[in-house]
Amino acid sequence: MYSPEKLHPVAYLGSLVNGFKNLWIPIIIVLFNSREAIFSGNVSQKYFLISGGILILAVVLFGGYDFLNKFRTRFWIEDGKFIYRDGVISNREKELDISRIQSIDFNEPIVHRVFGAVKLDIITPGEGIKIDTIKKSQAQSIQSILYNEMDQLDSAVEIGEFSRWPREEAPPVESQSEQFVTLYEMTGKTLILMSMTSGALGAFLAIVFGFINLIGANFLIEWYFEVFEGLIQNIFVAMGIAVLIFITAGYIIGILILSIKYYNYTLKMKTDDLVVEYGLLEKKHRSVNIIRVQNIIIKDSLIRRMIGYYSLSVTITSDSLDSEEIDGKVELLPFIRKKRLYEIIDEIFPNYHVEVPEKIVPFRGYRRYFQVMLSIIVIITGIVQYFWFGYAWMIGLAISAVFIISGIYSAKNTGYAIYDNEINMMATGFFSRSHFVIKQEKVIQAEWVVNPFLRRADLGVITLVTAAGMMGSSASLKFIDKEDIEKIWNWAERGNSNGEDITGSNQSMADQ
Amino acid sequence: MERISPEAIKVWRISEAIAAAVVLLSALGSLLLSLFVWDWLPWWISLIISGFFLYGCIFQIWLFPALKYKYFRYEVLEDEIKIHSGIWIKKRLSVPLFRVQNIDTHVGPLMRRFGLKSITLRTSAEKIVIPELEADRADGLRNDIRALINENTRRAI
Repeated sequence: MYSPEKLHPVAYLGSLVNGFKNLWIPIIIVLFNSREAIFSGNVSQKYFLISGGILILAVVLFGGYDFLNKFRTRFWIEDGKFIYRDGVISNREKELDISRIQSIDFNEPIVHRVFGAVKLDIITPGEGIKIDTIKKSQAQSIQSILYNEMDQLDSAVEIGEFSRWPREEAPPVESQSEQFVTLYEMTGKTLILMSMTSGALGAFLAIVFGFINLIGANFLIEWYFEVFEGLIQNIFVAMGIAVLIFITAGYIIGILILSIKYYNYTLKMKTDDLVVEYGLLEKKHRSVNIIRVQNIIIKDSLIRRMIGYYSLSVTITSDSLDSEEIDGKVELLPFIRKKRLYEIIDEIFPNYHVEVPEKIVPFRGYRRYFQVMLSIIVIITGIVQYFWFGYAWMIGLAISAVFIISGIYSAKNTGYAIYDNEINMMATGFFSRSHFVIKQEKVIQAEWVVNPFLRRADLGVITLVTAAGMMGSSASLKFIDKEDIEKIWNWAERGNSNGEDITGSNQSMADQ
Repeated sequence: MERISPEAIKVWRISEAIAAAVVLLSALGSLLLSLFVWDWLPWWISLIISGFFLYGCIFQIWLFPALKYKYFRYEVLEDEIKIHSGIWIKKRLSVPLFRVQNIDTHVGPLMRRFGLKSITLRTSAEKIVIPELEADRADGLRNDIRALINENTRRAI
């Protein structure tokens, strides 16, 4: 690994596939437009040769460049740096400082697995490198070398990137640092339960409608309904049964898809690196450096909360455009029992204090959680009722009720708790909660928003932003009391409050 | 807390006026087109566009620049930057200096005539803009912020 290495030979096959992939939308358009000629069977030889020739030429052009690029790609490790070089016309060389690497991921799509290849994705807070198709053994040796080098390198602290990790102060335990400790392994039962309570139907619908849209086969949907209309006389019953069967089938298929995706989910740990592995057909492998973690997010939804399961994510930061994970969020535990979750958090993040915040939204803030949505629903219902459908008010009422209950649920759960230099914030959405744990030095920006109505009610909205991917991850508490906001605000800028104003002379404090 | 340059009101007004003039021209153009060239173009389209022009004149040119100036405050402390802004919805922003990665200044053609400069601070997630400062003050502020960041960085090491 210390001398320049090449890509896996399958990469060249990949460039051929890429050639077709780049062209497949034009191909579909051409095929679709000439469908009559093709179906009628009398495709002239000239037409066939010309179109075939153009296609081959395009594939060669698109794929050939890619091919050369892959042929010239080299990567190696050289005194504390990971170096990647490619380029056909102009050479491009990227260097990553190994001590700054915060995540090493590799994915194995099905095709790659057959040939023993993987996709490697290395992320630092700034740049990132993505290498398509290298040998799995290469990827593993890169990973282990990088981990070992990271361990060896004196932890030069990056300013503003992370706080010192308490474990560094303890004497290093040699035997422990050498191998991975499995923290969590998902069982089959949990996997099914997780798939059932997450957007299984959504996953199915997204795939089905995406596919139907893609190939322009809207007639399939009409055909589906026509079959049921033919079977059953009453058109409404027929439609109802058709929809019901579609949803049930979708739900089951969705569960299957998610089960395959998250099959054999494991979380492992090695000194200060966490590794997540999952997948049956496409194997995913993600790693996160614990000291680079910007904040911790514990999420649940109403259904999952009722059966006592939560999920855990952390965010890391990167400006890399190559990476697939632009938002910087890494899911560590997608589905785990509450008690076990807190045990694992204690184990991985001993320097974090996680506690469920107190509920603090005052009663006068409750209606603000649903009033905007409610007025929108009322207006839409009104319009539909007046112009199209006489019973719209019933549907409107039902939807309003759902949103009012959701609003009250949100209001009842929003809260925060400050503990030393950490804040626990419970932000809420539609029947879902996100519990953020943020360290003070990780806060990039605090934002306090009021409008005149909120000001009169002594309420406000506060948002704390931490770095995550390109966009940042923001936790916002809505419609809480001014005093609480002031507490959070002062906490966020603590230690800065007695700073001197360097803009100097003509101060006007009148506006404060 | 400090205000930005009062010249900013003029700059904003002029640039909004240019935009409004373009809208007015398109209103006139569509009126002429609908009257003399294209029969299918209804005459009231130009009325709608003039509505936009009127809105631009009243709010964007007359009201907003003055109010925006009135309510914009910034303050650079030893280790953080505070910005208060917002006419109807009030927003307070606080950014720790050591998270600032990049300081850019920007001068538009209009701003140059009035000797103004704006400063953009980039953190790893967000972009914070202090608009329309006097040029020398902007440069001074940028140097100050840069010095502060360097100093903080050195101290942290």
